Amino acid sequence: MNLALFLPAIAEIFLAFAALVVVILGAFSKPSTATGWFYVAMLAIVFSLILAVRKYTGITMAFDRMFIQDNLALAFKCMIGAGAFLALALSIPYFTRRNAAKFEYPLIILLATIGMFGMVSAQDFLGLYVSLELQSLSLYVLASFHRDDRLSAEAGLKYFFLGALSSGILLYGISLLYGYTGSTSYITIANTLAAHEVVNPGVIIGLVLVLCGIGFKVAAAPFHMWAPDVYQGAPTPVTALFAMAPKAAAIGVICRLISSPFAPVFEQTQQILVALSIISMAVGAFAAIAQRNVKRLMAYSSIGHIGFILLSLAAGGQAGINGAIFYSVIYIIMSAGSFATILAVYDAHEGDEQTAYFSGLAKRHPVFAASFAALLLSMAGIPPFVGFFAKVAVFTAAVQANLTWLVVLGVLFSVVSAFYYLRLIKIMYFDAPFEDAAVLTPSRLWVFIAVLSALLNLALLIYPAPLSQFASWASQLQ
Amino acid sequence: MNHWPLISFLVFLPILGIVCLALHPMKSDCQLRFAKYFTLGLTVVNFAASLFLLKDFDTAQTGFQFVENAPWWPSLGLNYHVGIDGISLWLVLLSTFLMPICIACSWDSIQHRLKEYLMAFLLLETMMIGAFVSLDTILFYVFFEGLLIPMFILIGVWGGPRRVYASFKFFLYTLLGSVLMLVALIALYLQTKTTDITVLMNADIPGNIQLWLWWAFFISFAVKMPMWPVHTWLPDAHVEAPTAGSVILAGVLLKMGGYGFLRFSLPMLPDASIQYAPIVMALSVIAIIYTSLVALAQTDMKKMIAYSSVAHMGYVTLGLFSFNQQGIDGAMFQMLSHGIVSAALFLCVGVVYDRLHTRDLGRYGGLVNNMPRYAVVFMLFTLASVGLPGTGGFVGEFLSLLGAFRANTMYATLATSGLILGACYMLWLYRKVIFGVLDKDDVKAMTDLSWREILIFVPLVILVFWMGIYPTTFLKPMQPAIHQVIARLAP
Repeated sequence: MNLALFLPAIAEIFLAFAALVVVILGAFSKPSTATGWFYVAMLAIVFSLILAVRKYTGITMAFDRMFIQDNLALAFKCMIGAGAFLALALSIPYFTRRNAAKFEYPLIILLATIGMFGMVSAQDFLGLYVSLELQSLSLYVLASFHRDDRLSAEAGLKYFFLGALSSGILLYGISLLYGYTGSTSYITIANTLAAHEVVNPGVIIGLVLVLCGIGFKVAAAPFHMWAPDVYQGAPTPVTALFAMAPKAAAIGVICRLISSPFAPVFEQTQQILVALSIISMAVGAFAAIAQRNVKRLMAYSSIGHIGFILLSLAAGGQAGINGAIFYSVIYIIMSAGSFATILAVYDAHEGDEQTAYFSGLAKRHPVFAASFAALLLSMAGIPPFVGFFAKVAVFTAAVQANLTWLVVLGVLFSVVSAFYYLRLIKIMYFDAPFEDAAVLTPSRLWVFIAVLSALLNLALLIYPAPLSQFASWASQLQ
Repeated sequence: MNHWPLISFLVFLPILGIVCLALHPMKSDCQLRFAKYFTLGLTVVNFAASLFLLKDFDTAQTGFQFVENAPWWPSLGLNYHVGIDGISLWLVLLSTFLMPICIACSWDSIQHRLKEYLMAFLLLETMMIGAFVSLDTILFYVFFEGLLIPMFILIGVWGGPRRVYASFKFFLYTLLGSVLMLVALIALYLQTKTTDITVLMNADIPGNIQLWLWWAFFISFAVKMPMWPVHTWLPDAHVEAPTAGSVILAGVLLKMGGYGFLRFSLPMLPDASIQYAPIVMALSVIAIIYTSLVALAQTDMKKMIAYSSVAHMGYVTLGLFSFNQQGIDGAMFQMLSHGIVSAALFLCVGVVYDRLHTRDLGRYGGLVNNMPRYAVVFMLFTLASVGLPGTGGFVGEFLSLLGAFRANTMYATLATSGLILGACYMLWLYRKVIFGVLDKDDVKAMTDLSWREILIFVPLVILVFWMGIYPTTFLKPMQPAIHQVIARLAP
């Protein structure tokens, strides 16, 4: 057996071994040492990425062309890895302060990461489905990790039911595609579709169902219903993970789908992406206004951001994928800092995450207030923060693809969403601290992550070259 | 020309100040006072440095001077490209000139969260100067939009009772205006493959595309200007903003719109500008007459001056869209003189507001008895605002109306009536505050201008007369730039 055949999947294989080690040793370790496994998992993720990057030699396939390692996959693995790493880092103070650290938590995140890595590397619908399920099942467990908490249990269950439904839809779409093209391989499907002038309606139905299934995973409206409840109910560091890693993975899948199997039917794909994009931007902009719970607010805000990323993907081509990657990276950075702030603010207050708890944060903890304000402005796409460049990249791709009307809609929705971001700034800066406001005693790690992501938001605007090089490298598909 | 990066110095010195202030403890009175002196010193240094621009500026040369160019986002072709011509020179000077005045006038009136206040002002300075010197469209947009953040904070934290409403209205209104400009900038970039303003100013853009782009730019600049009917954010913002915020808002931020027209709409989209000029002129005339009438009905001093600003900006657009030498000269001059005069008027309101904490006209009266020095200063700026010959206001209004007469007699005639209306409300305001019977006890107790206040007003007084008596100083450096714009508009 030639071991070099497995080289493209080295990151996944390494992570799988790491997960096995954590299972076996974790089961025999003392509960008091559980925090150690968080660090082990973080190290494992970093090492797997280093291995993947070091052993990368250009586009390579494995497992009978069911698995591909290329620029796109590697770039998304870096983003997913960064998301999982940051979520783990944010979790450590959260669990240690509650004395609730369990070794299963990093283990499940490792398993989810393997699933997400597999998703972006899948070159076959079956591979995609298996990876997606590995990821989803891990995330269902994570959502209900506070099993004694009613909301957390509800979040897990709701996520599981709706997730199962969407997996069913995805599978049905895959089976239709298989029925009409005779294969589940991306390459064969692309070739078969390209060979026919007229697109069979059955293929279109399959395509719609597959995109709906993936749309559920990215929480694109109108498949977003689970997101606010799950975001609210899940433990906050898990919410942070949801906002970063699985989103990136599902976007990677869409990038892969529009550039490989659905490339011949891009016109039809585009229509769906445009529809998803508009509805997501609208829901993200308007529904968030009514939210008083900051985690639900972040859920709607993420729906809005997904709308912008889909806008870029709807533009298609390298420019579109480039824009989507650019936006996703920035989104991960912004999310990490925002959730660090949210974790710190609610650390002192058990219970519902009302936005009112942010009041007077500018006085109570100026550093958090300033960095969170910067992140919020960045999310709103206001310069001088890099969120503005994310929007510019996306809009440029879309205008180039003659979707100017969609861009105009997009900027108008971005003004609406600016309202609720500004409202949070208003609560932090204009309002007086609420009564019996507890003194914030945030973990240094949270402060560090929040400040770092705020500074990155500024630094990347001043010097965007590394990010733009990363995005354009990642979107080189051939 | 070889020189050290003076423009970058002007733009980024305030940022350095912000960093220093952020690290500066604000526990004792001494530290608070130090922060104030530090900020004042910094803004004075920045003003002094900007005078070097004036000194080394070659008034004969066309094109941009003090140019700095460095790659910023290579894959999109964005550059950190800054420089000034005769138009931006004066606006930069106006910004750096008003900054120390703003810090000085809030010396005692800002008591809480002083550190953030000073930081917000320094950030504002960076953004203002940056917007005027940018020669890259996206760079311009970054500064143009970034302005909103410190202003939002200034109104929202240190504003009056309805500060939250006013700050949100200000932010969202102007954001809505400018996001469409962003789309236009991107479309312009994809059309011409460049974001360089110097190139775009000479680019030929197809007529039908020009029309769409023009509207996107127009909406953005009209909101900033503000033109009727999108001026409604201005009175709210002015009334709620602290005095220094109003000074900067009226003095510099309103000039962004006029500058945008002069830098983007006219030279980049000349055909569309010519086609839509009648609409703009009509809107300007409506603005002049309507907002003057509205100003007549106000009882809030700041609101009245805010409406008068809208009317005065009407002369600017009227002059700009008459497309001739006098008109554009007048518009530019009007912007500068309005920057000084309206800033001074808001300072005048701030002086009495600091003493009585109301802006209600009815609460004042007879101030000439106990505040004679104040009465003189206020008189001077009232007359400058009305456009008395010998003050800066006259030259601007006269030139822009002269330009408008050459372009369209009817609009110009109608606009002239605004001068009379302007005199009506400004003199009425003056009469209500300064003359009349001094019968209220709290008004009687008001003290005359302090030395600090006099020192603030002296440079403004000198400038108003200088502008009125020898306008050539100001008009000469801008000639090459204005000729260039006019050349683009010639059929």
